[in-house]
Amino acid sequence: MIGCPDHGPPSEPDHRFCEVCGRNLITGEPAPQPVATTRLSSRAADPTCPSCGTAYAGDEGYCDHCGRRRPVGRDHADLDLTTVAGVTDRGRRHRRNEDAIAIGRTGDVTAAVVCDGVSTSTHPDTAAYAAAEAGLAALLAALAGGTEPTRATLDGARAAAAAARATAGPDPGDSPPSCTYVSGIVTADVVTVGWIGDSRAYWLGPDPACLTVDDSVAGQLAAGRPLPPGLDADPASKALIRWLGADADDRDAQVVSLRPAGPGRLLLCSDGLHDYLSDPGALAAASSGQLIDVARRLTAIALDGGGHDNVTVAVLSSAASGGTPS
Amino acid sequence: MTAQFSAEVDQNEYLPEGGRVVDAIVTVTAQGGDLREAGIAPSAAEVIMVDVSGSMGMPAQKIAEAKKATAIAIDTIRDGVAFAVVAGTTSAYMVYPPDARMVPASAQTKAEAKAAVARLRADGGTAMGRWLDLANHLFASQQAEVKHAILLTDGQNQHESPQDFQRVLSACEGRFVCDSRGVGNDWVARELRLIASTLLGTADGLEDPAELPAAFQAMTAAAMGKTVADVSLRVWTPAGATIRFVKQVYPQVEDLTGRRAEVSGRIGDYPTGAWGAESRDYHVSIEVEPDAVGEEMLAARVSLVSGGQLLTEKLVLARWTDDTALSTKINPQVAHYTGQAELAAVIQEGLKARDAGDVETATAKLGRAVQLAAASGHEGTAKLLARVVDVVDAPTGTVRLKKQVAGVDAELTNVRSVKTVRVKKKQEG
Repeated sequence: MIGCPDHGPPSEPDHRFCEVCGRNLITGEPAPQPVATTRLSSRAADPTCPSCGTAYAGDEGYCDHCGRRRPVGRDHADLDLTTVAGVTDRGRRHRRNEDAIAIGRTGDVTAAVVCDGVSTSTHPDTAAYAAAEAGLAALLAALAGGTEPTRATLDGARAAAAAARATAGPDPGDSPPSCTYVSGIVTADVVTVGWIGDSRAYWLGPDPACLTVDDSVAGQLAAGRPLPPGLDADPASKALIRWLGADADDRDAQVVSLRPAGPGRLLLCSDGLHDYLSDPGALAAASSGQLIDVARRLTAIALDGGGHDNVTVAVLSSAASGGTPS
Repeated sequence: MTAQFSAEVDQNEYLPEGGRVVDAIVTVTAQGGDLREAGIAPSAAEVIMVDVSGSMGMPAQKIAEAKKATAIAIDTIRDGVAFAVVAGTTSAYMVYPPDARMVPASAQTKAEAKAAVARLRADGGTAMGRWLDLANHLFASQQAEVKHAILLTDGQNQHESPQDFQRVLSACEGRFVCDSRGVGNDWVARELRLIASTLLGTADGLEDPAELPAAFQAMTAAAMGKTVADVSLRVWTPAGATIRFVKQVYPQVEDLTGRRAEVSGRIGDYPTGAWGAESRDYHVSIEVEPDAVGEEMLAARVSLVSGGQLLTEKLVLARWTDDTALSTKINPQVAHYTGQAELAAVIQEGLKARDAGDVETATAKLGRAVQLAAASGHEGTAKLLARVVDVVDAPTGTVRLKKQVAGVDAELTNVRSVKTVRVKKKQEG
């Protein structure tokens, strides 16, 4: 092809795309049409203070009447886009839900991000929401622009890291807002996950498996990986070795992709679930039915087990008909 | 450029389970260029009140230095600033201009004023309320943003009742700022501190009349350097909280708690006067309703406002924890200024007991003062205390009252009791 059928030859002979409509002048393919993108987040939308019932003024982080800190996320949220769904719950012990979940879809591709605020940091929920929402928005935008899922996963994690870092403000202090991060993308034939921290991704279908390796002391030891210097090799230690926040390293997320051998579900969860149920087979056994029902069922397992932590579950449907793991 | 205000909060926000008291030191700093050069300084008005009672002529050096000091203060006034010079005895009369008004400073009016000051003679008694009353009358006709007065006295306020004096002070409150200075041996610290407290200025005594010119120059220059007038410390507290106290703790202790002007149910303003390029510290102590361990609340929002404009704002937080390593940590700034406020109080109480002949109380209080001054490295106060007591052992506060104390030493110790020192902050890595 030497020119665009609608707009003629390019201004320079070596241009590969039409300057007007973006058609590929080598293959003749028209430019990709903008695809519909939808996103949902568990961020709190309640305009009144849960402690005293006074309407919030402005966007300050505290109630102007009773001084209580304004929750960033909802205590409980059900998010449902049919082919991707999720639930987050405060649990039975914690006073606040510091997990965040964001789910979305662009065209036929679904994605979700789960972040777990590190409870020993300051205002962990601000980091969790900043990371979950920025991460999902960036990876969906990348996917919508034709970026392949592994690259989009890295783009999302970088945007999330920058957003979490920014929540510390100009004076990060000793324990700036911090969170974990796990993202999942499901395309027609590939499942891609990326993570920093100890929130997990499970493949629940043919050959169910945990796809992530916790960035914790225990997780590294169990995987036979070396620990960063200066840490005790305690196999029971859930201490994080990586997280997002102003005091985090800026290494990229770890990324794993899978070409499923058949249909199944991708599960993302915070440790509020996998502390109670971590066996891939047992999780797979509880994963049939509508996605939102699966998310609710798994959340209920954590709550019935004691609900010692915030629990967040995202489930994505994969209709893959077969292939080989990459 | 106008002054840039910034604030810093020092506190331990962690409270134990059930903890109710939140203490914070708020350091407010105003920075700005030399506004006299910039030509955009706020409008100002200056009244100088000079004691010309008979005692000012004994020795004659006092009245001579007072005249020299007044002339230097006049020279320091920025051109265009309205000014007046008042002479004080049992009444108050105009030195310059001759009639009861203020005139803009210019080369000519300054020269005329200095000539009038040179003709002053010492004769009569002391009734400072009358002087302040005339100053208040002069300021009333001025629109200036910064209204500042200097008051010089060498004696006790003998010729009016304390009630009359208090009534005039109340009438002047909020109308202008007044710095007062005592010279000679007969001024009374309590009176000068009362003027400083009520009129948001400073008070001090000068040991040697020869220090007067420099002191007048400094006070006038500071007044001319004020860039923002009528600044208030605004404190928001949540519903259910009570304010235990709000104090300025640097450069001097001034309890502002009772000076609150309600803005709304949860917001109150405390007057701080006019600001130039300077830094002040405030101690805010709030009692809140405890929340559960792990919870956090905004215990106070502390801001500086002027003319409805927010200059700077900081948050004071409370977080409840079961980690005693966190909740028992004492903030060094809070501890330091709690000590400085106690130091001022025990000096004043000790001197009062000493005047009343209560040797036991005086020895205990002044001993504690010596101990606190030594512990906080407050050398100025330690030296003054050593003029009033013989220090046996400073770390334990063991002292003996001196048998013979020059009257002015006790007054100097008293008037300077409210001056505080800052702790050196740990250098940030």
